[in-house]
Amino acid sequence: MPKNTADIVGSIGSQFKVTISPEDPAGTTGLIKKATLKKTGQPDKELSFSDHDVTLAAPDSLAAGDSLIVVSILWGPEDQDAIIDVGRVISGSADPADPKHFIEVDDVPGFIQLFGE
Amino acid sequence: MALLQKFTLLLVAVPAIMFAQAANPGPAPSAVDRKAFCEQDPRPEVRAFCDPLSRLQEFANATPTGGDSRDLNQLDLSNPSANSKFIRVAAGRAAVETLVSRIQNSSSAAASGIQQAGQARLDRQLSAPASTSGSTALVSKAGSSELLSFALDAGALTRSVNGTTATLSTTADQLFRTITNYEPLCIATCDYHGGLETRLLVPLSMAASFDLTQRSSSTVMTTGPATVGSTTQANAASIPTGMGKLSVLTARYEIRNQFDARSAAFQKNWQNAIGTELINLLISASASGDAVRQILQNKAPQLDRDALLAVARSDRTGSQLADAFSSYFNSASDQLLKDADVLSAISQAVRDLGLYKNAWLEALRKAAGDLFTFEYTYNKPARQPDTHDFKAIYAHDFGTMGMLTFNGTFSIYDSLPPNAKYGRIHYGQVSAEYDRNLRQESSGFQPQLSLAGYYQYQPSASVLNIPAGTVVPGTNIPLPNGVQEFVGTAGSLWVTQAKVTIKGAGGISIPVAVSWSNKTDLLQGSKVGAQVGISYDFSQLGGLLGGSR
Repeated sequence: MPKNTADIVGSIGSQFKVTISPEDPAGTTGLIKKATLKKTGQPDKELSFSDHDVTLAAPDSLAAGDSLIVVSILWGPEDQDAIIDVGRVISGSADPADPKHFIEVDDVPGFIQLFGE
Repeated sequence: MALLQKFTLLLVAVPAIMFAQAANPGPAPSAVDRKAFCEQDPRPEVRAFCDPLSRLQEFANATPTGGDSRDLNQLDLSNPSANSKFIRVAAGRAAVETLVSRIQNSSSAAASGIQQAGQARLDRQLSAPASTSGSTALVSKAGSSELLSFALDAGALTRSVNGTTATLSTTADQLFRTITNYEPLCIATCDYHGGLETRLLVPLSMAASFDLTQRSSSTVMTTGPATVGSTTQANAASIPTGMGKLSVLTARYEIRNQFDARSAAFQKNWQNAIGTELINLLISASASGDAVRQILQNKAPQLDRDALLAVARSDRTGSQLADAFSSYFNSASDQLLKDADVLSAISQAVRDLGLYKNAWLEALRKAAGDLFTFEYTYNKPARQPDTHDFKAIYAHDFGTMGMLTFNGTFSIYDSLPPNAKYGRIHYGQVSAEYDRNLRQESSGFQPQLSLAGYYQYQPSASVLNIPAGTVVPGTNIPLPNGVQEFVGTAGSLWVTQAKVTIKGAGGISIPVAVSWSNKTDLLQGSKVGAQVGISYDFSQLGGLLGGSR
């Protein structure tokens, strides 16, 4: 997963919220029910989450190179793809891909690919 | 028959349309029909990846240079974004190869605890209706099995003759998806509004019951005596062709509440319907899907992104893009599916997705509201006239407080003999049942308590067919063929039943019941009876054929 294919690219050690279609007032995208941070060679970390966002914060801030958030999303009937974006940046910098990537509806699990530089 | 004709037409027409499109590229597709080159393609991988293919083609048509990581990620099997689609397409191809390993893996699945999925459901009708000679169900339930179920029941409820009945039930939609491998694992993206699938296949379920105490036989012509000195020669003989005779055919049609998925009311119901079991199954399915991802990231051949983009730019119709992607996908999946680790991981992922889908559909039913189910039953009881039964079933779910189910049935005779002393109406009945799980949490064994009451009114006494060759008692005068006699009494029949069903892990249920009735169909006088059965829900094995419910 090089930098040019990642969903979000940020500075090493940055802390921020990853959102999936947070502007969803009518329930048109799925609800996050679990989020796990995976980095090759390191143990998995459970991340805090709410319906439409996952928080990447200390001690699990953005690592160098590739890392992956595996999200269990409960999709509802007639839901639409969930757009991956960066919400509140707590420290450092983080930017979504341009154009923004998304998790396709019905994907179980969904994946959010991160790259730290 | 009409359905078969439509299906055949579809099979013939779709490839014809596709070949016509391939032969005549024509102008670039508009935004409206940008998916035309892939969404009806006969190749499952092209259909499944149609969204990213069509977006990539649109991007290529619009921009002569530059890359599109978003859609290429979703087409690259070594990228996590392609994972879910790969599992769904590969499921059908992997099914045969994984048959043995899946059965071997069943013990580990049991250990994971997810085999209790669906155990808490109170609304499934798996056994034969009460009118058969072997049934544990005094009241028919509104729901049905998810893919395929088998039930064996002994003990009569309204019949005088105790029998044993084997019942096989299936759901039209999942049977169709499983056999045709048409998006068997779609969940939120299945079409729930309009169309043949929603109007006919999804609500329709069928069951066939076999009376195991009756033997099937057929008459064959003999070819001569096999011993010397026989004084009489039989020209024909009746030979047994098997144990069990088809006694009941049932078709059920569920009428679900219409819902607007965007309405606040539905959203609230949907949130309420999301239970712990559904979330646990989602997390299990996610974990097994991620296990596939880990293998694919290491073993799947990387997509040549530049080459695929160049193909898309060389043909604005998308036809060559579809061909190039199909070639990449088939080459990669052929290689991957030879790997035992990949097969095993896909097998587990498909199975877990199937279980999650079952629970998801159940949540959707709850969110949509109460069900009405209409049931038609063709009865072929032993030595009695055939009947057609029309039943309306209504269920109300009180959540942890249990479920109430009501039945109303109207039964008519299939035909009347000349000079019959009875009319077409066989009986009318109303019944009700209360069901409740005795434990709220999922566990190895979930006991369910059921209390039921049944009232039937019959305008004429029951009719018994007298078989050919029967003689008048005390004489050797044979009765003519086709004679019918009244037996029992007309009027009211009451039945009450108390039942405990032990629902075990892995889809096995064992109902044990006692009943009391003021009479039975052929005999006067009250009767205390016992019923016992066992049923198995094969949805646990649904992934064997690439789908499940």
